Amino acid sequence: MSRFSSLFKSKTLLAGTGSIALLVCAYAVAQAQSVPSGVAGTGPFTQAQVNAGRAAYGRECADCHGTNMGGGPNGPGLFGPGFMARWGNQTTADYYKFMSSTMPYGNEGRLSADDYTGIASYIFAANGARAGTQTYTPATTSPFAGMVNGQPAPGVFGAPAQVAQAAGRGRGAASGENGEALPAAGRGSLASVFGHTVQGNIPNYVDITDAMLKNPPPGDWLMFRRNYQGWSYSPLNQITPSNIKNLQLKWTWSMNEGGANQPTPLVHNGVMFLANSQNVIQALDARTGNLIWENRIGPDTRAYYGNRSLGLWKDKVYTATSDAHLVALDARTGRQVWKVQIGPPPKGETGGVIVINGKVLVGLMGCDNYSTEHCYISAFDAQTGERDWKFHTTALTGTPGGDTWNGLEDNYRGGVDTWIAGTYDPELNTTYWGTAQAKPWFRASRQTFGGHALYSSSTLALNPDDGKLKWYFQHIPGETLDLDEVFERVLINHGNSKEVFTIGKSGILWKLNRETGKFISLLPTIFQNVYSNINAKTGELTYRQDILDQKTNQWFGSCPGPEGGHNWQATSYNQPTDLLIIPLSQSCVMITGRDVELRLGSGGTANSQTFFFTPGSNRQMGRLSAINTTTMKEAWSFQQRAPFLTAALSTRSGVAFIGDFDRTFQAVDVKTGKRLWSSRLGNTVQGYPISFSVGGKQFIAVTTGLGGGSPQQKPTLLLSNYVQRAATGHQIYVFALPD
Amino acid sequence: MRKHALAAVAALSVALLLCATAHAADFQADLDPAAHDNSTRAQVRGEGRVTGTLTGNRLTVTGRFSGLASNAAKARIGQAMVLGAPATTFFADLVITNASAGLITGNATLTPAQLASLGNSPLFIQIDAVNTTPNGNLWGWFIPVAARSAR
Repeated sequence: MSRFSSLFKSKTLLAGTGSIALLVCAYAVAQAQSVPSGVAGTGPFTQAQVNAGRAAYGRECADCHGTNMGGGPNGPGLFGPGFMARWGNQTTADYYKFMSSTMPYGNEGRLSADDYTGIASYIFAANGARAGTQTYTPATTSPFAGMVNGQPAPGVFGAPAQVAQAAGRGRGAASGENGEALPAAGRGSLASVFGHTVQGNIPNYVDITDAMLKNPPPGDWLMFRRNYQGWSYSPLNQITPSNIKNLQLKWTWSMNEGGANQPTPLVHNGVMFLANSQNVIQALDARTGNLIWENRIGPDTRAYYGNRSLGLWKDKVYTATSDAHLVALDARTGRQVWKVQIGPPPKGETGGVIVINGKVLVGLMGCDNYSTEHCYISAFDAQTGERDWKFHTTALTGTPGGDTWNGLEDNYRGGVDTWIAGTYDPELNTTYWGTAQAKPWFRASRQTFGGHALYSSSTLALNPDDGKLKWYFQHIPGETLDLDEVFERVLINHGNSKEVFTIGKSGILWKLNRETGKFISLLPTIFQNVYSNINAKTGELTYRQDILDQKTNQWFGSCPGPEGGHNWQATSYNQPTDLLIIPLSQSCVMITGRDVELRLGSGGTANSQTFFFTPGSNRQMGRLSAINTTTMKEAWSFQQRAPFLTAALSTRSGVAFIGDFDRTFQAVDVKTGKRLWSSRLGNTVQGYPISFSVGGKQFIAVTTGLGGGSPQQKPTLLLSNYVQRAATGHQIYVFALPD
Repeated sequence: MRKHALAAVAALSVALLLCATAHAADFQADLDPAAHDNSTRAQVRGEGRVTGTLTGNRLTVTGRFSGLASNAAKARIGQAMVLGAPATTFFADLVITNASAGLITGNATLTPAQLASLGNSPLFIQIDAVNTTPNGNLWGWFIPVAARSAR
């Protein structure tokens, strides 16, 4: 049924137009209602195809559509009423044509015919069809009527071990010191290589102390946003607005392909620690780019999952993996010291870690589907890996805030993931984290309706010693359009006022008192149409009336859409100018929330989307703005067609760096936003640029990469007529002035 | 010298005459592809621009479009819920060239309620093509020209 057919079912039409559209709608509704259900039959596919399809699905589809087809961050569920309504009256040939021409998203038609037929067979089985003796081919034309009923057969998703194997985990021929598989032939066939593949040594390594983390040496970049306050600001000043025209490439290094590449390189004493996609960690000579050691921890899964930052403390490098493990490596050699599980499958983690007083703090994601396990923030002993505490980001029954979920059973309280490692105020001994929205996205889908669904879309202030909640501020109670507030928390002082700033997908910049959580002020930075009122005095947002009155399967225009006015591409706080430099995006969406069955494994994001340009934007998706954090007024702003896919980086010398979807890495004047320098790189400039120094020379490092969620997917679709990109290109580039 | 002066006077007269007869547009709508996804992006494409001039309660629309994947079938005006939330009902049909590129012209008479709510609920134009009916091929929001300049 088309989007507008659904729209016409809403009260707008019921109020009374007698147009032709009504006839179209009535026909569509009648068609949907005539979809057969109840009885499933034998399909034109074999069990071998289902088995092969399960493996291919885990490799190619699970990131978006969920491990068990329940829907994920960027793709709808693939079985149940939604599948029946969409496909119940069509044929297996229609399905093949659709799938092979539209999937994988952004790389359509890439798979083999065997992969497509296998994945389709697996999906048919998940909708109740039984395997038979006929082999499914692209030409096979069998009606779905009588074959599927939307009900997965028992065991169709396989045992957990099968699912893990299907997702590509544990492949390889031998076991390495990490307990993972080692390759049969050196570093040649990288896709299946795991283990401590390059053993090196950093003889003059200096342990990183707590004092260094609190006051990093100027030439180092020891953590995610460089300092505990999350500034992404370098005190180096060799590269200036007047000499940056001479900036040149010093070295580059090809990174692991596959997955999402969006890391923060960390640098300590001239050594760069680099998180590649698929959980590959390397140490490089930061001056020359020579490889020192490499540990391919694995697994090689997840087009969606990247690693946004490692952590460093004493003699160890910490990484949270895409399959929700926390791993400590010896910083000198790359040898694995310990490995512990953060959360059970299918949980994962992308958002990096922060090390505070000998504890490694890490979030958790992958809580889309209904489960007995919820999302939480954890602390682990940095020496031993022993878990110290957990803070559940979902308020459960009987706990404070547990009554904000409209009485839902705990197992049906999804989401509230933590995508970005927190920041830390040593004086207040408080760590600040943002949380994602509840899942499914729509209130009507998840059945929370007017419930606030704590602690979704909130800023959390936790004691890092014990994980106790000091205060919370929920920015958007009961958020419902995937416009959550999960990204960076930036800590800034103005005189005696200790403040925390954050900006989420709605594009609203928030200023809170970080001692109390009290609202101070806000500033909308981009066009939005989902709130009919934004109270600048209280911080209270009021949704548009039709959004408040929502029903499932009703379409809404939303600006911004899930790409977000702001996303994981973090801000930079330039202390000398008191400007917060904010990467912003402009796009809109038509979006609907689907019906969701309350059962374990169900849930997901449960939405469908179509995309369009922001009205009046002249198809300019990227915007960079600088906001004075004292006055909360915009100092400058400019927009361009390609959205920015890196965080902002600024320096004491007044230069800000930013990279975009269309491969341009540019520097602008912090005070004016005027472009000072640019360079075209090999692919989308994506990740967290940094600045460091070795031997008295200042360097700028930035990565290019593919993969990721909405910030990659929306421009891939909307800018397909404007931007051409290569199929590979995970790379790090390091720039400096001439010697 | 006299010849040049006469030419200049004549040119100035023509320009003044044109200014006197032309009425500056009140609204402009950029026509961008309607909401689409991977499966529809090959069909949902094109661009265009229309202007709207309001005389009393009568909106006169003129503009161009190009680059459709199939021939244009219909152009119509509705009132959007808000900017960026497209209209679902329409109150005026326009004349459109039945080709992949061409012209859009026509008039719409606005009700007092529509006139009164234009600030919050902008007028919305949807171009349907043969292969994209009824979900639309191009969308545009009539944004006041003065507001566009200020953006």
